[in-house]
Amino acid sequence: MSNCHDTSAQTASPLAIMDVDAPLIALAGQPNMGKSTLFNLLTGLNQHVGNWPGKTVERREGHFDLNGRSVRLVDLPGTYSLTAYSPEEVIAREFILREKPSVVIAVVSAANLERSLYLVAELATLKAPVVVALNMMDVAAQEGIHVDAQVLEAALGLPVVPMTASKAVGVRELLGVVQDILSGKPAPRPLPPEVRADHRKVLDKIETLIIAHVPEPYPHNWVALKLLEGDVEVTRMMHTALPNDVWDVVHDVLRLHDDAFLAVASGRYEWIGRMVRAAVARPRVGQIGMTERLDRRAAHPLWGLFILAGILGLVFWLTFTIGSPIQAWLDEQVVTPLAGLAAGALAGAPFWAQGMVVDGLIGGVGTVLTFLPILVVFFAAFALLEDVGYMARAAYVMDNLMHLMGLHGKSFLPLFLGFGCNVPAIMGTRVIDSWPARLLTILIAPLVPCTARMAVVAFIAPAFFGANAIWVSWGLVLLSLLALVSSGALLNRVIFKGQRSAFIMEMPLYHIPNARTIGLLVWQRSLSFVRKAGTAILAMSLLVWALSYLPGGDLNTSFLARFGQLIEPVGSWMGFDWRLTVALITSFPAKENAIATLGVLFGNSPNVGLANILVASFSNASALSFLVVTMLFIPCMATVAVTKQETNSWRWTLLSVFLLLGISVAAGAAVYHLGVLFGL
Amino acid sequence: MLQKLLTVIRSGGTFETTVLAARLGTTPELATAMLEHLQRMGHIRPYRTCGYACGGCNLRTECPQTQPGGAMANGMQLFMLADPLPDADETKTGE
Repeated sequence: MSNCHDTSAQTASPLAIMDVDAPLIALAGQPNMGKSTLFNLLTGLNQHVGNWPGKTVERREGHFDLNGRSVRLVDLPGTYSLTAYSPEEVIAREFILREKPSVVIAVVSAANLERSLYLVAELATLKAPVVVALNMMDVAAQEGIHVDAQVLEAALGLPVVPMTASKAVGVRELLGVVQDILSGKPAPRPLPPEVRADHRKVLDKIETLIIAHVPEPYPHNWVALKLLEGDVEVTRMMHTALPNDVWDVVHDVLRLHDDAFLAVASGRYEWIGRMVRAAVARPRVGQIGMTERLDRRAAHPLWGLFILAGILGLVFWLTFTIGSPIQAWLDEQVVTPLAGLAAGALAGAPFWAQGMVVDGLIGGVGTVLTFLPILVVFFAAFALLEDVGYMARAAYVMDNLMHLMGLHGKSFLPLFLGFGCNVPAIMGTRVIDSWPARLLTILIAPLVPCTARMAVVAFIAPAFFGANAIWVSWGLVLLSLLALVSSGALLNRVIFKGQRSAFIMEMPLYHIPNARTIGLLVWQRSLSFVRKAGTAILAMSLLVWALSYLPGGDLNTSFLARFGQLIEPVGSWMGFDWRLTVALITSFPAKENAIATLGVLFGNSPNVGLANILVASFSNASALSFLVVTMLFIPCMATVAVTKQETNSWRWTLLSVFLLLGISVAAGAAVYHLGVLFGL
Repeated sequence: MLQKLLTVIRSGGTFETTVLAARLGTTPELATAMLEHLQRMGHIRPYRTCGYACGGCNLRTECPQTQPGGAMANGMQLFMLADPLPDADETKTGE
């Protein structure tokens, strides 16, 4: 209890010595309630700032003139309660108990009484006269909140003065009430929260046991309550103050009621609820009302899923309707003629140089860069959903679904990050305490369809499936999530053994999207894609081209062809020839490389876009199978590397790789054979 | 009320504050105040995402999720239980 004893000397500041006989007023309140504004307003330049002895907590003291009488004012540290959860709370209560201020002004926010009345509930149990400064009335009015100060005063049993300290409104009335108390006018009787009946008996028993031993200046009923609440400082003080035999009895009683601290706090919140119900009227229209109305459907466990699926379909529709025609135009009208121009310009150059530029650079990176319009639309749609506040609802309904499947709740948000990129999804699992839960999440995270995979889908699906591309894309996302949930549920049963978890979300209000925020997000994501095209995709395109050129300059006898033909038997299960199989394998450094590789391998046909060449070369069943495998295949190199880093285990990393390889090959083969069966 | 809130949370699952408030028969504002109180008491803690989780990630500056407007920066407040539920297995079994 060193803090308690320190505070007796705390008033020995120059100002305190000067005005030692002046009445003392304490300003108490939670942080950000306008306490300091009121302090500055009252004391002006007559203030002194220092530290509370032995603490790094700031102490502000000053004085002002009240009807010709000097009054000392101490700004107590901002505290949420008077229980010893923090040094500020200990300082505030010790000051009130030891210095016995003539008046305690409790500054509360009219805009958020639910939060600020807890401290008043505690202050009301102390002997010091309390005046409630109902501050921020202007903010409350702006938010349409009406607080009836008279009703609140009657309910609290304490004087309540509505005010707006930032505009000096209501200060005169506040000082009038303070003056009344200082003049000896009888204060109303506070109506603090009652302790629940079953705990009342325990409280009385503790009070009886300790009454003769409570050190000055602590009120014995307050000490008994704090013991019941499990207050660390008070418990330590009474352990020292009580004879051993009495302490043992008190300790046994407290141990039997170790949940009483929750009951006491519960009682205070029930009291706050009653105060707010009596005195506060909140608007049920406008932004809050709209959010509630929308969330009745958007955050509903069943309707929310349908809405999410519908929004996802809408995003694909927008992407394909706006982005795909631009992509096709760029492919046919820019990349192909550019390749022709480059071939002409390099006609005199060595054949390998022409091949590298035309097939490797333009056919590979150029083709991938034509995705940009598709991605811009895709990024803009998701940025809009994020900025409007919908993505929080999407996370909520998906998390509910995952719980139904037996998956761990804390896993969802890392998984949610995976829609952007699987790397932060796996890094994000660090917030999961339980190792099995974290491992499970790491293993299934690569099944979340990332933007890079969606880019491949956005290129191939419209080429092969035209108007049905929306349904194909939608189905592919659904398939990925189905694979994720099934694998998760299965692994959860085996590794995680059905552990429960809890997760609480406070969702933002829906709001009008900000064009600048959306623009910034689209710009950053697009820039990131272009950088990737200029580095990882460029390097891989040149390597693929070199392997497709060497040793003799003929694709069909190249190193790449030999390698592709070697693994073609596996690819054929899924309806792939060696080129599709190689394209899939080269997607390991970055998923978009699959298209870059196809651009290199099919880039020799003049005046025809890559999409048209692919449609002429493969059946729809092969294309669908390729898309399915791409969605479920081994993740990119960065994701595998981060899996190794986060699991610190090659065993788990290889398990992840082989698990995904198995799932993707099995799903691809099944889809291809079903496709052939249905005549695709 | 606080006790009931903690009991509901400890039953496991995903909760939204307005739904929690409805289950407790109170307002979302009071439910939020109680969640903050439980946080101060150490029963629940804020769910920190990228700022904490991606501390060692080389891609952090490029990561779209952490940029303004990203999924994790859109004003969604998240809490989770500070201690695992009683049947949780806390044993780390990695290599």
